[in-house]
Amino acid sequence: MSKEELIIGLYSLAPLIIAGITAAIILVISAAGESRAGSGRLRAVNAAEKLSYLAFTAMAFISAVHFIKIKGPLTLFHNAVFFDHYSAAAGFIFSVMGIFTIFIAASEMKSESSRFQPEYYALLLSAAIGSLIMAMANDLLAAIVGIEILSFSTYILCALDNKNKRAVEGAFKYFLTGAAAGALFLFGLAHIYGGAQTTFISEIPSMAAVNVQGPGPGAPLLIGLVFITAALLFKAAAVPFHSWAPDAYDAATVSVAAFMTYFVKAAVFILIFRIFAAAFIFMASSITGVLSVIAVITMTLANIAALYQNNLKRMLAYSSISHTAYMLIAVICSAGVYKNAVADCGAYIIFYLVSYFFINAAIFSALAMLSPGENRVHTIEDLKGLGFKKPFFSASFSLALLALAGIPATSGFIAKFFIFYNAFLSNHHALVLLAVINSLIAFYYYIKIIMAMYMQKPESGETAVSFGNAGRESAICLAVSSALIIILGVYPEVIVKLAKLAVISSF
Amino acid sequence: MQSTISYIPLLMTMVFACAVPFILIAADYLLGPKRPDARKQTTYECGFTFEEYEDTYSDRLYVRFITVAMLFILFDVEAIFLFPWAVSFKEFGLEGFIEMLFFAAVLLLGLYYAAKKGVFEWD
Repeated sequence: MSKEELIIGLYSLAPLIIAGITAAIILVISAAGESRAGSGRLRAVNAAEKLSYLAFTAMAFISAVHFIKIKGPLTLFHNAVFFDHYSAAAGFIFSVMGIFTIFIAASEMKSESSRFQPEYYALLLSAAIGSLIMAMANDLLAAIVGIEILSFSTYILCALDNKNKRAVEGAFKYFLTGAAAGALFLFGLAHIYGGAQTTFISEIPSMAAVNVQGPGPGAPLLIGLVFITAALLFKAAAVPFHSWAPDAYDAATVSVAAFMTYFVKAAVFILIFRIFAAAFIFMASSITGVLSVIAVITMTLANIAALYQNNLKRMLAYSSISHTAYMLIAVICSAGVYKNAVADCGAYIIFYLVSYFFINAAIFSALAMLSPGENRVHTIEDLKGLGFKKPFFSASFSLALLALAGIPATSGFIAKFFIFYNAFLSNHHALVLLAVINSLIAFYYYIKIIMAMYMQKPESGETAVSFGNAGRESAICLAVSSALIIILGVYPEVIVKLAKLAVISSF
Repeated sequence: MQSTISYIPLLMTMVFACAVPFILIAADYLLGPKRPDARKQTTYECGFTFEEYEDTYSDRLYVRFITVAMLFILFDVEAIFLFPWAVSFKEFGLEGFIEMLFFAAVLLLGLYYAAKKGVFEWD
């Protein structure tokens, strides 16, 4: 490796290196604080929080610099990773997500009764490493390393409250299904290697054209693509691979559930889109039928299941499953008939992820403000009568729920609009119709929460939840995300333009 | 024809691999002495019986064995990487030496973490 290669390698991997070193320092802090009891935990948690906050900020800054400075797509480390606008944009999004997660987690981590260790932050950083590798991967073997780093961090985060039986159960379910998904991915990868003689995303189209004889895209490639897609849909929790999601979200603490809804989903969709657009666009038409069916089943089943949920986190889990389906529609359309289909769909997926991220950050920071430190399950009944007692909280929470439902003037509406409009242009009319009907079904359960807050009185006269004074960071997060929901809803051009730039220059 | 013949050893290996477990289980069943007692009938897992720990560990897995096994695998893998490096030490030169030191440092950090968290406190 020459000196120039080394320097550009270090430069491109700077966010990963920062995350890795910071995670290691946090582990040392945690281990060194182990022998001291009582206030030792709180001190270590505070130090770890500040360090990880600094690291994520630095990562966001460096990714932004990458995004501005990169001239065109590069492949580094013997083609193992891409270094392009797409990966830089992904790095920026993941870093901001990390910062918001730290804010949401503050009230859980810092209350006196909390048992959570500073490792929480190290795991967040290692999850960021995994998802960045997924976003940068050119070699599918590198992609699977990224997927596993992200998944293992998430399993542990999910089981962090290891004295709680439900948490361990949910994490274990997640672990088993996730392990199955990893096996599926490897199996698919073996078939792709058999069909195309390469594991590099950028080489699959040309190699496949050389190696395939006779008509059709070649059975091994198709089998491989189906298995890889199934594995990634496992991680993204699409029906029929969704069964772990409600249990895992319910088991995890509020901030981890938030992290799983936006962070893991973003990482998975960024990888799915890269694989689809860069490697398999030439045979996408042979799999869009299957994906359409999966999208329709996913949204219908998730929305109907969510109607019957009373537990807030389980309802949000089903809601997140239904949003997977909407993003899947954009993936399907990237094989579209009209010009620029790939660029448009990629941009709309990124915009949807960003919008969904802010909405969920708002919702989960609101949940984190409820009864901090008590670690109890919140149902819709608990929210009765909050509406006028806590005007700021209830208004922001309602705004976020309406954005999830897709009311105009929120980012949720515009994100859905882009995707549906694009699907309409690609002649997927039935898909659009079913998606719109499903959005209407979803209204019911989002409105149910708002009704409980504003129009119903609690039975005992007192509201069932306390607010305490630990929720300052969560309140900041709620306010910022709510503002961003409105700003993106009214003025989405900036993000869409940047996302289009990223996708056009990278694919 | 030539290509078909070259696969025959593979086929024979597969047949043999399938047959071995049946032969072993059948031999055990036919030849082995059978003196069952309650202890032998219980579930056996990773060096301890569930019965033995039923009172103290009724719902939590006894985890020490697994952590130690994990650490063993960790350093096993390190050794796998160290051997080829040691053989071609001269070719890799200073650069390889620094890379290996870094690799070992990361694993040592893990060992320090495990030790501080009390993995080696065997009461």
